[in-house]
Amino acid sequence: MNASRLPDDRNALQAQNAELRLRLQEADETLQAIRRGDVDALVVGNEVYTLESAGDASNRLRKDVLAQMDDAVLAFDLNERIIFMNAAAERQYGVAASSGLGLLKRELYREDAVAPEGASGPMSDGTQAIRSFSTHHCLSGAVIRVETTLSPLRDGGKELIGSLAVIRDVTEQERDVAARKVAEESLRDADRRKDEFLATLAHELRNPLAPIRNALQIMRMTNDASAVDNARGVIERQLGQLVHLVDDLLDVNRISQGKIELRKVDVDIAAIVRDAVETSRPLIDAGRHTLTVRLPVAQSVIVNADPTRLGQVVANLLNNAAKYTPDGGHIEVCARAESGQAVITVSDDGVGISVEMLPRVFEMFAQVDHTVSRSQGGLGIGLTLVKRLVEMHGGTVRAESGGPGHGCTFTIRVPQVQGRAGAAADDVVVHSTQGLHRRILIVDDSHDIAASTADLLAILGHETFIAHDGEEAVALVKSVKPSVVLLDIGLPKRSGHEVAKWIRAQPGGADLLLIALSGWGQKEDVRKSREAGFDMHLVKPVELDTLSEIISRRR
Amino acid sequence: MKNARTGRQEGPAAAADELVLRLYVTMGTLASSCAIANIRRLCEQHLEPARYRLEVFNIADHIGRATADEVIASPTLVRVSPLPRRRFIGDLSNSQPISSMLDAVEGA
Repeated sequence: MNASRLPDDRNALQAQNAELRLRLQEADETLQAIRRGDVDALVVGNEVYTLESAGDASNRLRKDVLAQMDDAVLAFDLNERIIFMNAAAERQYGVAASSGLGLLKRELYREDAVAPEGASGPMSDGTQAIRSFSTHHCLSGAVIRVETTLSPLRDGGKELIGSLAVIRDVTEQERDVAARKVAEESLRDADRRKDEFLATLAHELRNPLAPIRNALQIMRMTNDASAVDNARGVIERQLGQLVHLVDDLLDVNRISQGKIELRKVDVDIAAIVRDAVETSRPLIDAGRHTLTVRLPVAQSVIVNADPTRLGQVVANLLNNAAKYTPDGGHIEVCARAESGQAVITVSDDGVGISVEMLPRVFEMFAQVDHTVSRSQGGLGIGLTLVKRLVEMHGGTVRAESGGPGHGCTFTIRVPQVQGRAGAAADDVVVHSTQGLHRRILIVDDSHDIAASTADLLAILGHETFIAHDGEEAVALVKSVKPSVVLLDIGLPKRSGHEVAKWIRAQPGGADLLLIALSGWGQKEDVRKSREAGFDMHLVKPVELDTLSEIISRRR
Repeated sequence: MKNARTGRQEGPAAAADELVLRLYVTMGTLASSCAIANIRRLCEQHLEPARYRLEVFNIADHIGRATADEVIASPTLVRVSPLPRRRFIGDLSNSQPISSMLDAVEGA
């Protein structure tokens, strides 16, 4: 046993001996290193004493300054290994100094697009510090824009030992500058448009005042009834224009502030277009434009909308078309259903819109051509109103134009109420050639026929009245004095023939245009109508175009 | 904190055969900076990245650990594992002894 243990003990002793010698050697090396000045700090008890260079205090100050700098400071040796990084550098590159020190520069970040700003002046030793802007792709994955000042690093003996980089993250700064530039630009633009708007507004508000003043003067100077009537008419029209301007202004303002609430109901798109056409009729007629209206069959395209507001939208587009189309132009309004949406287009062959202007036509105060708009009046807020109202309906509006002089088309899309799509019947097309507007009495015992005929004639600009039996018809002829009467033959109470004879017997009754609308078209029927005094005998259903032509031909 | 070179966390006990080096430095001095750069370069030259772990501590922030490692000055490199501990003092610009030590471990 002893024999076997002895060599072990000896081995252990030898190992201990070797370890002790090693420790002695390490202690000796430590002492020598301290003597040579190879160390920079000593641990004594629980304190660390830094040994390098000047005083402790200035050392600490230098460290504090570097640690508290907002700019990242990196020092590299001649091989571009990192030999110093301050706290800001640790934050900027997401690497602790204990991990980052000794890394190569390219391991900490990849740099591209260096744009030197030129040497920023000679350093004390005659070399130059270089300032540059570039992008750093950091180890952490972050990408930052930086301003770097790179200068040579020298030791106490002035020997070049590497380089020193002070790196400022200017990402936010550059972003701010860019954002500020954009903001300033749009402010300037808005300011310019505001000035133009104010000029236009002043002009528009003053415009109606001169005729009003003139009219008042006329009323003071004359007692002639028709002259006073005319003057009153002028005042009413001009006042209406003023009210319209102010209403538009208030509407835009209220929508901007979210103060307009839609009163939505399920409503026939055809009815909305009809109402809008009626509203815009005076402007369209004033320009002697030809209006074509294409509508789906009544009640076939339904939208959930505020009828007043959506009507206002269409009327605005029609007014616009009338204003920006030279006299005698063509305007078309068309409503239809298309992939679940109600689509209304208003097109004209007027002055058109330039490509640059197209994206901006819906902006506040944007006007295509000031010379035109000034002559036509308007504030340039109509389209802004259109866009906001359509958007409030969950819809979109788009402007297209073939360019200046090629007219333009506005398309509104509003979600269609599903499940009520009627039969895909043919659209009803109505052509209106200029403003020959008559008072028309429609007599039919079918309420639907009477109402729909009246609606369509109203689109053409005529004033319509409805009666459902012979006696009602006679009463209305007396009170409204129509110039055209559409008369069904088979009427309750008094037949169409009787009514016709009665009309012809009245004073001035011979001048009326009397049209028989009958289900019967035999020669015998036509002869009977003529005998009763009708100018024409038409067989139902009557093409509206035909009817429209007959009515407008009549002088 | 994350060790950028090996991607492993510092601190947990090393496996017996793993090479763990711990460098105590004083941040911002030339000697320490050189020591850090030198040891990283030597490690990269002599060892596969997966074979070692290098920890760098600012001695002023880790006096207790330095005392436990019997380190009395910075910069000092300690071979923590495998035992026995070995210490190298100075800026490590004399690469010969460290290269031998690393090769011995790598060869083992």
